[in-house]
Amino acid sequence: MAMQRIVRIHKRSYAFATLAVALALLSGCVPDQDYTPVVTQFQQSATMLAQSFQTLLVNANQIEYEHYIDTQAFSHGQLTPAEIDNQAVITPAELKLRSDAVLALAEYTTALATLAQGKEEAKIVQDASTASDSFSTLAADAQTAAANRHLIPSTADYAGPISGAAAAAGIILGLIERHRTHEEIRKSIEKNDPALAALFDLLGNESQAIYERQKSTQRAQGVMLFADYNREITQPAPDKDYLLQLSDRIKQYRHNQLLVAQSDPAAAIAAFKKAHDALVAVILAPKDTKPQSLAQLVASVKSFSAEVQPLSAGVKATATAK
Amino acid sequence: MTKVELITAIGNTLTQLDNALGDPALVNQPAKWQQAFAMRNHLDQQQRELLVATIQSDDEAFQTLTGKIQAATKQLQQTIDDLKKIDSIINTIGEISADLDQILKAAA
Repeated sequence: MAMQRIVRIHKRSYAFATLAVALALLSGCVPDQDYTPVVTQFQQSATMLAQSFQTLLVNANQIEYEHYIDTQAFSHGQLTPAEIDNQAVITPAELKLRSDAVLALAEYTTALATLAQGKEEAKIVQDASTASDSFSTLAADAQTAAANRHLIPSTADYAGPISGAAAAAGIILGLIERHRTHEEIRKSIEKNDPALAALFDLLGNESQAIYERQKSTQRAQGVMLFADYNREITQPAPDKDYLLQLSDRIKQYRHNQLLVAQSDPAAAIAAFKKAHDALVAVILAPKDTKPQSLAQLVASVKSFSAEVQPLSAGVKATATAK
Repeated sequence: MTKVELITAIGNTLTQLDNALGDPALVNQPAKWQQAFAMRNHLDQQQRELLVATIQSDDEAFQTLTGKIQAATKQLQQTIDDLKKIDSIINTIGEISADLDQILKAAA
């Protein structure tokens, strides 16, 4: 599985490198190096987003377990392994469904980017085929997650947007794989691509709820740490070692607070969608408006990168910070 | 109000309560502090339950209850800085919590 992902990332790198030339050609200019960083930036940002989103979801359960343990310990409440496990908010199948959805959207957008170059047909077909495989995996994940025990009710809601997105992407990618004319593909993108919006929206909405929950549990830790500290200093003979331990944990908590503040994935997912929309606009734009579309793509990718970089750093750091 | 907006609104209420729990004026009243902390725990647990609850956000009862919650959170914003009114603050949070209980009960 890991090897397949590395191969996919490698394929994407190649596709994006060639896309740099293609974008310049689409703009009617002589190819130059200016677009290469934009394309690379998009590729890196999409990969970072997929990884960060997966880490955020993996963290969701861990954060709930630790929050429950802290709260019970603070209130001198009973702790049992079963009750700790009951705090889970997402199952492994639900987690896979969501990270595969981000991956499928990233690979589909990559296939569109490769298409925009207008040559290197083998690569276009190869990337379209990779994206098709991702959507097949995603459709299977949706069935598994909905059929098995799931914790997040909207897991069942994924079936609609995924089937809509998979059908729409399937039509577009199928035309590419069957070497149909650019005009035919362009018309199909215009007609079918909007069906992917619901999947972007669902991911964005849900991630916001998970993030809000993460912020609340993190702040609870602060309340208990400060209360412990303030309680200890009122003792007749405060335990200095304990106070030092608490002060170290308070410092770490305040550091983590900054990291959590930059771990909101909703803005990055919205920026991802905007970059996707800008790429579609470049493909669909008539020749005389291509330069404006390209300028919008450059701006959207920059904004996507600006959102995803702090997210990636924040999510990664909060996953390891104690 | 949608489910995500409700989770966010509860998060904002928890933030206000957390600020109050860190205020020396409340820290120096251990009994009141414990009472406010117990409310915090309950609201926190309700927020977690909301995350995994099936909510029909277009349901009339849901909209009525979230309307009441919105009004209560607005009222809380006006009183939370004045910790002399801690009993009133705790009562308002109690109202929010009771409305949330109804939403969660309907979702169960």
